Parts: sequence; structure tokens; C-alpha cells
Amino acid sequence: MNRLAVLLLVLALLPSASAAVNVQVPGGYVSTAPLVLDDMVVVRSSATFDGRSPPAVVAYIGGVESWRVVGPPTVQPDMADLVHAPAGAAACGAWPDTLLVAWSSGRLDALRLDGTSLWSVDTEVDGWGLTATPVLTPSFLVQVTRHGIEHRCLADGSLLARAEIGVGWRNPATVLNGTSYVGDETGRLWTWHGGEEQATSIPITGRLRHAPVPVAGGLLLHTQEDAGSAVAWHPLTSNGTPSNASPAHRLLGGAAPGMPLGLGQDTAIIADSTGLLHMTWTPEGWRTEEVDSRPVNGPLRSEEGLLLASENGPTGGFVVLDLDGWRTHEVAGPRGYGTAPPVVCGSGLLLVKDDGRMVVVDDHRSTCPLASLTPQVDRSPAVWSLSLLVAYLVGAVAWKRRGALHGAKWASPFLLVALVLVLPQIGVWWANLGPAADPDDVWDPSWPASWEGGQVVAFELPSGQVAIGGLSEAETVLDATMAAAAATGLTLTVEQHSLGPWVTAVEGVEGQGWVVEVDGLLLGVGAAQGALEPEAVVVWRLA
Amino acid sequence: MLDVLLLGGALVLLLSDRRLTVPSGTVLLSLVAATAAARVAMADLPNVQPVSVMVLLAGATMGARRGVAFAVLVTILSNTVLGDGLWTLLQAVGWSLMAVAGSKLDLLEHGVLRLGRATSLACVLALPFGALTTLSVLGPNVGLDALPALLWSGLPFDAAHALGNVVVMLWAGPSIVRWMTFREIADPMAITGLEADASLV
Repeated sequence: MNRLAVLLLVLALLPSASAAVNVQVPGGYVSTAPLVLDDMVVVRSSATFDGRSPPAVVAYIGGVESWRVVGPPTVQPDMADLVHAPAGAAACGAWPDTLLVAWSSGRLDALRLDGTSLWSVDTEVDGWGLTATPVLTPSFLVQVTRHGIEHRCLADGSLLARAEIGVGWRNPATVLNGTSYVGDETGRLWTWHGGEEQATSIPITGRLRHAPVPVAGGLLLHTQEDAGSAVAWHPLTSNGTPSNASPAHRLLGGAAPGMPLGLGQDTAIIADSTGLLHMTWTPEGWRTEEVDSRPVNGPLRSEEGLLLASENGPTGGFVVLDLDGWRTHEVAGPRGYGTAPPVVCGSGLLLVKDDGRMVVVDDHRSTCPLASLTPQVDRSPAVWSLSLLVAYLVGAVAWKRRGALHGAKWASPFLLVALVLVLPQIGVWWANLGPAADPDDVWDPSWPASWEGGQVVAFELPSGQVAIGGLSEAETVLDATMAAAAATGLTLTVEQHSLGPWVTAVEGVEGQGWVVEVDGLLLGVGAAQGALEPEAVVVWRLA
Repeated sequence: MLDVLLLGGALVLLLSDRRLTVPSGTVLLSLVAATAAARVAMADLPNVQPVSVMVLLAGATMGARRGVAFAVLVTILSNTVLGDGLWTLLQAVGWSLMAVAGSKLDLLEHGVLRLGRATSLACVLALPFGALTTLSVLGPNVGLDALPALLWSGLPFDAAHALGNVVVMLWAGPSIVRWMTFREIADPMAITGLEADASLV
């Protein structure tokens, strides 16, 4: 009987049973593949175009959202892949397991795997900032900025070397034997050996929006032309400098080229709106084979013997082909416009489309870290009601048969289950019954009068107060805080706890934790549970 | 620095206890580890604190000195995982006071737990413990004037602590007392002759 009670208690406390794994990533478009680490899936989303939701990086651990870092606001999409830098050391210092996030606002963030900031640097912005994926080398990281290429220390983000190049967009570098190669929007292919040296360039046709692909001792480029696209191959000389394009290896392609993928010494795959083309280099020119006719305009990926891509169209699915024989695998999942390729996750595939629908398919062994994440069916009302009923029944029977202490013994576990489930609601209700502050003590006279009558959010940072008012009306403290962070350009770190999201750092500052006051009173519940009136003052302070 | 002082205090308390032997110290440290692990494992349940019952019973079975050392060690060990800060001091003080209360309030009768009294005490002590640990929020930016609202909004969570204590005490209290009631048994291998044979039997 005792075991039965414990079993019932455990079952009641367990999260909802899983059905299908289907997650809506918060924020705007998701244009890059999620990053799958040992026990974590990290995904990034751009800001929404209406500015209501800032760009974000969200981590899911053990099936639930673990933390969220909100980036500086921008109207440009965030299209740089997230990069995991394993712990290591170089001459400039040592770093832990690190997640590199390049924001289109120009900020480059290095995050620890718990979402806290390791370092953060700002790069130049010219319309937009960073759109190129950071590239790792054993000694430093290579970051292509809006019109430069930089070597930065992974330990602290310090700038080791920099060279100017043409203005670029989504143009990561390729590093071969210490030399970086990168294209730009002005029709140049740049070569940089690092250090004090300037970058040199040669002309190419069109705009290069991918990392040059090493093939057969040269670099394959798939450039965006004024009409359609073109493939070029630039042989590398003995000192590593690219030569002019080989006429025999020039091909015209379809519109909107994707990011080609090198598959071996002499082979590569290119993609555009006409499909996928497998190309094998020969001295006389390319030997080509069309392997799929679906439009692909984003990155290509190869994992576990599969070629992976996202079909970009109103009902586009995903391209999953055997690398050996190009057999097509049908994949169920979200459909629509998208560029992020599928990612192998556990025994299944992790799929995401532009609209942020993220799905794990075919994960029969449920080994993907997202596998236990399910659409949360809020069954807590049923569970706590049932718990109260059971507490009454078993408590009454035990009391009648063996006395009050036994009654309490049998009733208390079920009462605890009920209390744990309703605690967030009770906490909100109870806190609202508490004492109120004097409104005159809440308002900061330095705030503009135009903010009065609306919601104001202030962050008391060690460097001073950052406040914003006049924002759209938010329903919860967390919503208002997120909107304020987006409007002011502050970075928030939000972790998921049992009582809901928890702000653990503002602008990378953690201190001994952050507390939030609403109208002068400390919030007694989580920020997501704290309801806001249309007129309210929210102040975040270090504890 | 604070942790070092707390740790040092706990060790002084243990080492100055003349009744403490190597076997009983081993049992105590094992229980510290198990209690800290239980606290970490239950961290996702809002304010359900198995430590409270453990320190109360540690005080009752081992006495105030070892009970306080037990409370301090569990607090430091579990907070290395859950997060360290000023609250570590306040939690250590709160649980130490619980251990002292457990040692003074006759929770055992002939070595048997007085379950009703212990359960009531575990339930009631959750409230002052909550009030004490709430003080950790005070600081340069949060003044004493915020304390009433803080204490008020913390009451539902104190209720969860109290009810959790009731569950743990009623279901596990008697067993915990048996684990903690360490009895020295002579090592038969160190005894010669017939007495050794008797001990082995």
C-alpha cells in the first residue's frame, strides 16, 4: 500500500505524457539550423518585423526550455549559424564550452552553455552588422564583419587582427592553412593571411553569399548574378592565392543560389531554385548530375550519410537524400518557406521552417534532447482536483480506521501534489492581496511626462539606469521586460524554472540575482505570472 | 569566504565533540551527502525541503552540536549545486536553529520518534525559516520597507515547505531516526577469546 501511494505521488508529479514533438520557437523567422549538443538543442530566431519580439537564442535541455538570451533589436534577419566552440586554450587564454552567436545588430556574443555571457563585443554596423557564421580555428575565431574580417580570441573576444574587405552579407570565411578566403557583395574574392597584412582581392562575377568551397585545389563559388547565378572555380596558386576563374569550369545556374557543400576532394553539391546539382571536378570541366529538382536556397548539410536541405516554397518540405545513390527519403513535418536544413538529432531528424515550427521526426528511440518536449497539455486542474479528492477519501478512511495521524499521513502527499500544482496561481492571487506602495515613490522625476499613464520598464544596471516607456501594453511583467530589452538594446538571459521563466542576467550582469518591483513592490511570483495593469512601473534591480 | 567560515565552524563543532567516533562520523557524513542529494533532486518542487526534517531529526538523535554541523554541511554542499550566496548563510542559520529545536524539544521517547510532536514542529518551523531566509533578498537596492510585502508574498511558499515537511516526516521520519540512531558495536576482531566469539555470534 505504501508503494502504491508513492507511485501515485510520482506519477502525479511527472510532466504530461509525450505525444508528438512539436515546438513553436518564440520570435520571428528561424533561418538557421538548430544546434544539437549532447543534452541540449539550441535554436535562434530573428526579430519579428513589427518589432514586438526581439531576436533570441533559445536552449532546450531535457525536453524543456532551459534558457533564452534576447539579442539587441534589429529589423534585419539573423542568418548566422550558431557555433559551438568546445572548451580549449590558446596563447590568448582558455575558454569553456562556448556558444558563439553573431547578431545582425553587429554584436558577437560568446555564451556559456548555461546561457550566461562569457564575453560580448560589438562590430561595425552599416545597415546591418553580422550575418556571417563565425569560423573556428585552433587558435582563434574568424569573424567576417560588415566590411572586415577579424581574428578574435575565443577566451575574451579581444581583437587579434583585422583587415578591411568589401561590404558583405552572409559571407563566412573559409580558412585553409591559416589563410582566410571570403567573398563580398561588390564582386571581389578576398585573401588574407592574417596579422598586420592587408587583404588582397581578385574580381569575381556577382555577389558571394557563402563560404568559398575548397574543391580540387581551388575554390568553388556559386555567386548571385543580376539574373540567375553562376558557378566559378578559382585554382589556388602554390602560395595560396586564388587565380582568375577557370573558363572551363564556369556554369550558369538558377536563381537564388543556396550555399554549396563540398563532399570530397573533387566533388560538391550546389543548390538554387532549380534544384540540386552534384558536380565532380575534371580538368576539362564539371561532370554534373541533377539529384533533386526542388528549390533550395539555403545551406546544405551532410550528416550520417544523408544530404539534408530545406525546400523553399509555400508548401516546401525537406530534402533528405542518401549520399550514396541519391535515394530520396520522404519526411513528414512542417511545410512552408524555409532555408534551415534538417539536423540529425538522436535517432531522428530535427526540422524547422521559417515560421519557427520545430519538429522532431522518426526519433523512435526518443534520444533527441527535444524528444520529451511536447505541446504541454495543461492537465493540472484535473490533477489537483483529483488529488484533493483522493486526499479527502484516503485521509478520511485512514483517520476512521487508525486515527488522526494516519489520516494526515495518507492525505498529506495528495495535498502536497495539489498545492504544488496550484502554487503559481495561488502565489499571484496572494501577492495581489498584499500591501500597495505609494505611487509618488514609484515615479522617477527624470522620466518624460509622455510615459505617464502607460507602462514603464527600468533596469538599474551598475552603470546606471536604463528606462523605457511608451511601449505597447504588455500583459505580464515578462512581456513588458522583453519588449523593453528589445527597445533599449539590452541583452536578457532568461532561464526556465519550475515556476516559469526567470531573468538571470541583464546585459550580461548576473550579480547575486535580479529582483523586480512592480509599482514599488517586489514581485512575489515569476515574471511570466506577474500580471501588469495598463499603467505600471516595472523596475529590475540587482538583489 | 563565507562558505569557508561556515565549513570551519561545522568542523570545529564536530571535532570538539568527544563522543564522535570514526564510524559515527562516517554515518553522519553519509547522511549529509544523501540529504544534499535529496535536496538537489527535489529542487524543482517549489520550496519542498527534505533538509528541514533531516536536520530536525539530526538534532533529536545526535544532539545540538552534531545537528548544527549536519545542517551547515548540508547547506553548503547542496548550494554548491543550487547556487551560492548570502542565502547560504541564512539557510545554514535557519536549519541550525531547527536542529537545536529538535535537540531540545524531546522528539524521542526511549529512542522512538514521537511522530505527532515531530510532525507539528516540522510544520510550524517552516514559517520562521521562510521569514529568516527572506532576509537574503535585502541589500543595497532592497530596503527593509520591502520586507512586509516580501514576507506576505512568501507565505504560500512557506505553506508548501510546511506541507512538504509533514509528508516527509510522516512517511520517512521513523526510518530516518533508525538510520541516525547510530549504535557503537564493538569490533569482534579486536577482541580475543570467548568474548570475540560471542560478539561474532
